[in-house]
Amino acid sequence: MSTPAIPEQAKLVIGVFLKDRDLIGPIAESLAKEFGPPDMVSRWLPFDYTDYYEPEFGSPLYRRIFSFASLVEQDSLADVKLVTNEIEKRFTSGKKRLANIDPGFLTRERFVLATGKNFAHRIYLGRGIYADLTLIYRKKEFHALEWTYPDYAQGDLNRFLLLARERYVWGLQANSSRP
Amino acid sequence: MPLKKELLEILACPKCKGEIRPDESESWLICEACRLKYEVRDGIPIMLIDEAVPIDGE
Repeated sequence: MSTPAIPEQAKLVIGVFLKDRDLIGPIAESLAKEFGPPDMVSRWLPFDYTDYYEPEFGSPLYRRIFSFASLVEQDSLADVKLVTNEIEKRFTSGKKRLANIDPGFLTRERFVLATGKNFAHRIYLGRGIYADLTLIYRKKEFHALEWTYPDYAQGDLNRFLLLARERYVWGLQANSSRP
Repeated sequence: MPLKKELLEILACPKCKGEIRPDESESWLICEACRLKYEVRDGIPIMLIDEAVPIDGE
């Protein structure tokens, strides 16, 4: 029989995609107000692997990724998603969102996205939010799964997560070595 | 430990969200627009605005 234990805190990583790049400033401020300062920000990355979002957001779309300095408890993923949903609501035009905000948790072993959509591989967390196991870390790489969105599977986003993981592990080791 | 160059290509300055570049020693990441530099420790970029160092203070 296993003994339940609280796991290490996770690193919060949030992807934002939008059409109007001028909105990233106020969105980043909103995120920092809720989650603390980011410790890494990506350059503008193209968001062109799907046209699914074009009816709502238009095109072309652009993405930035933020990782945050303050670690979070792994059981707070649903809370985080509900907060980012509220931030999205502040950036709307009529009924259309102007930005899509995707929060996820990164640990030593994995990267998990939060979503409000049910699917076979997603685990229900509560309050209408599911956890999507997006990437597994193994042999120094983040590996995609059968259902992983292609933009997370490889390329700049995957590389950003690798760097965020290095930052995360380095921080854990630095904290554990402190008296 | 040197910072992997390909990873640098995806990072931006957290303050102005603009481009950054490593210095010659690859110990700092420099934002010319903000006149700030961010330390790279053990190959890890410390991209916290509060910990950035003014370039012009040298």
